[in-house]
Amino acid sequence: MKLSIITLQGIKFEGEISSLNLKTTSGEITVLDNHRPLITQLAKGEAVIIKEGGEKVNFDIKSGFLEIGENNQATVLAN
Amino acid sequence: MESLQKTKSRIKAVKNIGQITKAMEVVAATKMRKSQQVALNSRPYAFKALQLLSVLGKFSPVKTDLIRGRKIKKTLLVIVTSDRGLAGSFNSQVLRLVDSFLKSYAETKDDNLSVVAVGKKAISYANKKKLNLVSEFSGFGDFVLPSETNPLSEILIEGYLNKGWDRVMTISTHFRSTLKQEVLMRQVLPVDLEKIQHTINEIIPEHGKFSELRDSRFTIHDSELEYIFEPSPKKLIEGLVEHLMKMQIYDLILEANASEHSARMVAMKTASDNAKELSEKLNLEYNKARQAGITKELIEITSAVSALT
Repeated sequence: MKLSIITLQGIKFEGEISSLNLKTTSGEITVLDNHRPLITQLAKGEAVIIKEGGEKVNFDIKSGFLEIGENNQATVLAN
Repeated sequence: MESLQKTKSRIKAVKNIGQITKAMEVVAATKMRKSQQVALNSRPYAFKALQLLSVLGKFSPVKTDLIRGRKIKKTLLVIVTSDRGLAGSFNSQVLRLVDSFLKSYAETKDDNLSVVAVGKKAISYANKKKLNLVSEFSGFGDFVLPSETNPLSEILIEGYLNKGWDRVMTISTHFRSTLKQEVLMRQVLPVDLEKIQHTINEIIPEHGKFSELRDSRFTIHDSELEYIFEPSPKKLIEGLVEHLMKMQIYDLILEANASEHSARMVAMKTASDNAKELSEKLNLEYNKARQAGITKELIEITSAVSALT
């Protein structure tokens, strides 16, 4: 799926990934391909992105939102 | 006419000053560009947040504590100035508007005005005027990070929710273009979403670099997806509005910063031009004095020769 991480300082990550692990205010979730549309609030914690090749990328999040929209597209708004 | 030596040392001094102001001009110009760039970087975030808000708005009324207004009894004024001087009329323009606001405020209501000062010039102003200073901030770097402005936004939000004040006004400089900045009074709380959208569009200057982005203005697309909302649309809206308000404060500070640098750039340009003009004038004076000295000596020699023969 396509993920973009957008912060106030610009777009921090953009690319194809295979999974995304996040802490939300209602618990930890892992997003895989073709997730159904979702909007949720993120809690403080670390986002773990696994890219298509299997490479791991970590990303610190203080607060923010996750939106999963149509066409297999995910957006993280992070602070 | 001044002595040769004196004129010479004055020329040197003027040239030195000219060099310094020229250097400051260049530095300010670079910093201004950078501040603008930083402000522009926050646009994708703002667009996305507004888009989410419009989606959520269909499922729950967009009415949170931060949006809902109430009867205004107490006002908080945020004054945004720079830390450093030598920026032309940048700070005095802001403080002049504050003056006139205070005057009109004093006429209508009693003294329940609180002030948050941002920048050393605003702090010293508030202290001099003996305003009710709630909090002060200084040392926001040239390229502010969101984490630096968050304490400021949190104070504003907390005070608003605890009924410390019923509205928050800011007086700061709006960056219209490199040569044109204007001091504006804006209302930040209660939040007006249209105004936030307006602010986002205003990030792009009217002329000069980056102004070509003006065409790519933000419009909200309609989406008919069936989202799951966690925890609930209402909670999400509350969170989003808070984030948007923080973003607005961040942009406000960035914009004031870009304005400060461009004001300094213009002031320094004027100073270097003046220095150049003055040094040309002094040079002329110096040459005239030198010429006069030579003529005098020649006259002395020829008159001595003619006396001898």
